[in-house]
Amino acid sequence: MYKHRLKILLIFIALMFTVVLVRLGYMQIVRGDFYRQQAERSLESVQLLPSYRGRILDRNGVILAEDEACHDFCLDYRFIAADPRWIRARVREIAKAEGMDPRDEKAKAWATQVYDRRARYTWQLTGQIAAEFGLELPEVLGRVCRGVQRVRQAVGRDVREQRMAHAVIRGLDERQVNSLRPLMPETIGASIVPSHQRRYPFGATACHIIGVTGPVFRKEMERWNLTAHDAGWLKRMRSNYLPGDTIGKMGVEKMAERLLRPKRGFRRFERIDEVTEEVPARPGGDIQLSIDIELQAKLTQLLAGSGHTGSLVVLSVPKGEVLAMVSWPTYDLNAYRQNYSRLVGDTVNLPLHNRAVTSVYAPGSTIKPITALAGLGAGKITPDTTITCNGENPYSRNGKPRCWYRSGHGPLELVAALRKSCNSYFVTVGHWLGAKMLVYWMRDFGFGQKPGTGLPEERSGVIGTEAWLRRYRDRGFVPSDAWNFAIGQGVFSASVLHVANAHATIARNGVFLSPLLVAEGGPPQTRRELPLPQLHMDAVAQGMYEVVNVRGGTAYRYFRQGIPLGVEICGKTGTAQVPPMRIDSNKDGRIDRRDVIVKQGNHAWFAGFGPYRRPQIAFAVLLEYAGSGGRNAGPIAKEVVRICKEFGYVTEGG
Amino acid sequence: MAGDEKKMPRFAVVFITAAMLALMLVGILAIRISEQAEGNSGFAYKQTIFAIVGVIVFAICAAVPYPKFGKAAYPLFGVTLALLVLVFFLPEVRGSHRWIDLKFFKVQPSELAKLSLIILLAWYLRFGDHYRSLVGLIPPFLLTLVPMMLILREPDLGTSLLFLPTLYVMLFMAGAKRRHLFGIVCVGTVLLFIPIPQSTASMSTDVKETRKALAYWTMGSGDSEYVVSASVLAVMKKHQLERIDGFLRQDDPRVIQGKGYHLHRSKIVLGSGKVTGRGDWAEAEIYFRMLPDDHTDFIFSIIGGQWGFVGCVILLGLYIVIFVLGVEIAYATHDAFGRLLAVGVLGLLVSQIFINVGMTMGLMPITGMTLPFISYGGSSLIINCAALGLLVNVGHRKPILLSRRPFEHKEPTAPIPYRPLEKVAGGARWEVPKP
Repeated sequence: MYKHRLKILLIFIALMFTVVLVRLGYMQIVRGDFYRQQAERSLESVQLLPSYRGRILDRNGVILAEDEACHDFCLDYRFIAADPRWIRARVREIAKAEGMDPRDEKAKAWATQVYDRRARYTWQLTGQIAAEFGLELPEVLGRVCRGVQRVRQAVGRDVREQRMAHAVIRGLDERQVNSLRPLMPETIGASIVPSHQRRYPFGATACHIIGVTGPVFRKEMERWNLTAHDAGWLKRMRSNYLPGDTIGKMGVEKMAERLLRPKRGFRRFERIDEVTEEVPARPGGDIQLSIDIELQAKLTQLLAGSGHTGSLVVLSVPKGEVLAMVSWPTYDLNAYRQNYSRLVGDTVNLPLHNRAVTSVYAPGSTIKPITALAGLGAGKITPDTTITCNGENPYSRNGKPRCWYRSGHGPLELVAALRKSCNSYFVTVGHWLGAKMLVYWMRDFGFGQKPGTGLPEERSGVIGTEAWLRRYRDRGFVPSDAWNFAIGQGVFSASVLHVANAHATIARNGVFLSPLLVAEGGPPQTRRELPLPQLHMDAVAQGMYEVVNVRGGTAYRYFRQGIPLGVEICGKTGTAQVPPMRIDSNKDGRIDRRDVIVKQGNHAWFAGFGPYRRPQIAFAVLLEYAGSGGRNAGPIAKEVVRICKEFGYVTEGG
Repeated sequence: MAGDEKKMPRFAVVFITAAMLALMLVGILAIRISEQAEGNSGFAYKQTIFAIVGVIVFAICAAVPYPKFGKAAYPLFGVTLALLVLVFFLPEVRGSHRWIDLKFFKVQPSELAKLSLIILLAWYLRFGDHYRSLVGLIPPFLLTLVPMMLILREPDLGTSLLFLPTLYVMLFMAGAKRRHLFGIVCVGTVLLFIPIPQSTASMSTDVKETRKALAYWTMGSGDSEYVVSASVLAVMKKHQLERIDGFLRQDDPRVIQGKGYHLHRSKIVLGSGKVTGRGDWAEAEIYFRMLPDDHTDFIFSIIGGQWGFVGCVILLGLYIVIFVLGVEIAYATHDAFGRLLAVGVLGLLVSQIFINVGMTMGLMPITGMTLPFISYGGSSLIINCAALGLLVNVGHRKPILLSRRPFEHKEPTAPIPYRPLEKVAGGARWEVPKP
C-alpha cells in the first residue's frame, strides 16, 4: 500500500513537471519570438514632440491668431510622484555639490534635510504661482498625472513622460519669469521652460468669428480620436488628442480644427538616451479668412457707438465673400478664460453669442424685396400692378396685420410700395402667392437653411414650411401665414447673414451664392441662378433705390442728414415686431410671462447693397430692440457704406 | 521502482548532494546577473556565504542520526511557535512581521516552521492508525493549522500556502484514507467558493472594479449594489485580490497595465529567452527595468531569460534528480519516521517549486514564494539545505529491519481471510510481513 502510494506520488510529481515543461515550451519556443519582441520594445521609450497650431489670417494676411512664445513653469513628474529613487539621486547630488561624500551617513542626513527644505519651498512657490493664475494646485497636478497615465496607456509601456518635467502653470510672461528666475536655485524638480500659447493680437475684434480654443474634453476625444481599427500606431500617436491638448471650441478655431491642428512629432529612444527614430512634428496649417480685420475693427467701433446690441454684416457682391461680420457686444479672446464665468453669466447681453449667425430674428420689412420678386416671378403681379392700401389687410376679418401707415397709402405700384414699405401691398401679394409658394421662394434666397460659411455656430433660422408646422405647431398652413411671411413676421426667423446674403443675391441680379468666410479649406460655395428676368430685378432695385434716394422713401430723411455719402445705394428698412426679452428671474428654469422684461421694443433693420448701378457690397444691419429701422439702423448703414468706401470696397458713386 | 534496495542509498546520497550544489551555483549566478543591472548590491556575495552555511547545515543534518530529530520534534516545534509569536512584537519590516533582525542576519521563523512541522508530523504519524478515521485526522490538521494561521497573520500568504500540500502528502503516504482526504478537499473547496454578497458602498473605485471583475455576479445598482463572490475572495485584502485578478485576466491589455503588470513582465522576460537564451550580459539591464523583485521571487524568469528553454530544462532536471532519488530513498527505507520525513521533505520542495515556477509563467497567482536553493534569501536556503540533509540522512542509514514494515494498512473493506495456522498477537488486523 505504501509503495503503491509512493508510485502515485511520483506520478503526481511527474504530472506537475510535465505541466510546467509544456507551458515553458509554449512560452519559450512557440511564442518566444513574440516575447523577445515585447522585451526589446520595453527597452525603448518614446517621447512625443509638441508642435504649433496653425495661424488664422485675415484677407490681407494680417495675423488674427497664432501660437506665441511664452514660458511654462514645470515640475518633474518624479518630483510630483515622489519617486524614491529620483529623490535619492537628488540627495546625492546635493551632497556632491557641497563636496561631501554622498555615501557618508552624516552628509546624507544633511542633504536629505536640504532636499526636504527645497521640496517644501517648491510646493509653496508652485501654490503661489497657481494662486496668481487663479488655479487650484491639486486640480492642476491631477491633470498632469492623468495626462501622463493616459500617454502611458496609449503607448502601452513606460514612457519618457514619466521621467520628464511637465508644465504645471502655462503662459508666464517675461516679467513673471524674471521675478521667478532668482528663486529657482532654492527649488528642486522645478524648471521654467520656453513654450507657446494661443494669442489673439486683435483681442476683442472679430472674436466671434475667430473663436477660442481650450483643453479637449473626453467626449471630443472619443469623437475625433482614431482607434486601432482606423489607423496604425504611429499615425494615432501623432494626431490623436491626449488630455490637456488644445482643441478649437468656437468659431473658425473649431471649424478649421482639422487644418489648424498640428501633428506632433515622435522620438524613439533605445535604452536610455540613444535616439533610434525621429519623426518631426508638423505644424498646423494656416487658414485665411475673407474678413478684413481693419474694416471689422472700424465697423465694431461704429456698432458699439450705436448704444444697442446688434450685428452687421458686409458681403462683397461679386464673390459673396464676408468682408466684415460684427456682433456687439464682444469679448477679449486673450482674457476669455479669466472672464469666462462673467461672460457666461451675462444672460441679458449674451456677449458670447455671435449675433450675425447664431441669433435669428424676424427679418421684418427687409424681406419685402424678396416677396416682390416672388410675386413677379410667379406671375402674380407685374411691376405695374396697382394695389390700393387703406391701412389694413383686406383679407383678414380684423384687418391685421395692418399697414404701419394707419390712414393708408392709397393706390400703389411696386416701386412706390417698396419705397413706402407698404404692408398692405405685400400682404396682398403674399395672399395671392400663398404660403407654400412664398416659402419656396424664400428658401431659394437661402432662408431656412444654414448660410454655409462653415462656422459651427451657424443656425438655419426657421421658415414655416408645412412639414415644420405639422411637426412643431401641429397645424397646416393658415391664411395668416402667407400674410406674415410676406412682411417678414410670423413663423419666420433669419440671421443677419441670411438677410445680407439675400440682398446680395438681389444685387447680383438673382445669382445666389452662399457666403464665403474662408478662402480655402472651408465648405464649397453653392451657386444657383434664380429664374428672374432683368425687368423684375430692375423694378425691385429701383424700389430699393427710392427707399434711400427719393423723397418719401422710408430711409430718405436719415440718409440726407449729415455729410453726403457720395454713393447711391439701394436699401430696405425693417422694423420687426418682437416679443419683449425676458430673463429667468424667478429661477424656475423656464422663461414665461411671470419673468422680468429686460428689453423690449422693435428690432431695427437696414439691409441693402451699393452702389446702385454696379453693386460691390451688400450689407445688413440689425439693432436689437432699437425701434424704427430707418431712424436707428439707417444712419449706421450709411456709415457702413462710408467706411467701406474709405477702405476701397466701394469705388464709384454709381 | 524495483531494483536492489540495499545498493540504492549511497548512490542517491552522492547525486542528491551534487544536484543541490549545482542548484546553489546556478542560483548564485542568476542572482549575480540580476544584481548587475541594479549596480552590485552584494546579493550574490551574501548568497555565497549563505550557501556555505547551508552546506554546513546540510552536513550536520545528514550526519546526526535522524531519530534524534524525531525526539526533539516537540521542543523544536514549541520554539518555532514561540518565534512565530515573537515576530508580532517586533517592528514591522516592509509592511509585515516576517523577520527577526539579528543585525548581521534576518531570521525568518516561517521558514523554520516548515521544517519543524515536517519533523513533528513525521514523528506524530509514525505509528498507529488513529488517523485512518475522520476524528483521528483532527490532531495533524490542528498541528498544521496553528503555525499556518500565525504565518498567514504576518502576513505571508505564500509560505502559509505550503503547509497544506505538505500535510496532505504526508497524510497520504502515511496511509490516511483516500476518501477522507478527498472529502476534506471537497468540503474545503465548497466552503471557499460559497457565494457571499458584499455591499460595494464602502469600497473605493478600484477595489470595486476588481471585486466586480472577480464576482460571480452583481446585484442592484448605485448605493445598494452588491457583488456576490466566492467567500475566499470576500476575506482577501486589496493587493491579494488584485493579484488574483491580474492572474485570471492576464491577457487583458487593461489589466496588464496595472494589476497584472508584474506577471506580464515576468512572462516577457521568461519567454524572451527562447530556446537557448540571450546570452548577452549587457542586456541584463532589461531584467532590472522589468522585474523589481527579480533576485528573490522571480529568479526563475531571469534563468529562463538568460539561458532559455535549455537552461530551464536543465534546472528542472536537477530538481527531478532530487525527487526521483528522494522517492527511491523513501522506497528503500523501512523505518516509519524516516519514510515520513523523506516524503515530507519531497512534498515541501515540490510544492515550493511548482508554486514559484507556476507564478512566473502565469499558471498560478503571484504569492511571495522562493525557489528552493536558487532564490536569494538566507533563511530559505539554509532551511531547504537542512531539509535535504534530513532526506540524505534517511537515505544513508541502514534500514532497521527489526520492525514490521509500516503503513501497510489493510483496507477494511476487504474481508480478512481466516488463517488459523498463522495466528498473530493482537488479532488479524495487520498483515503479516512475508519473509
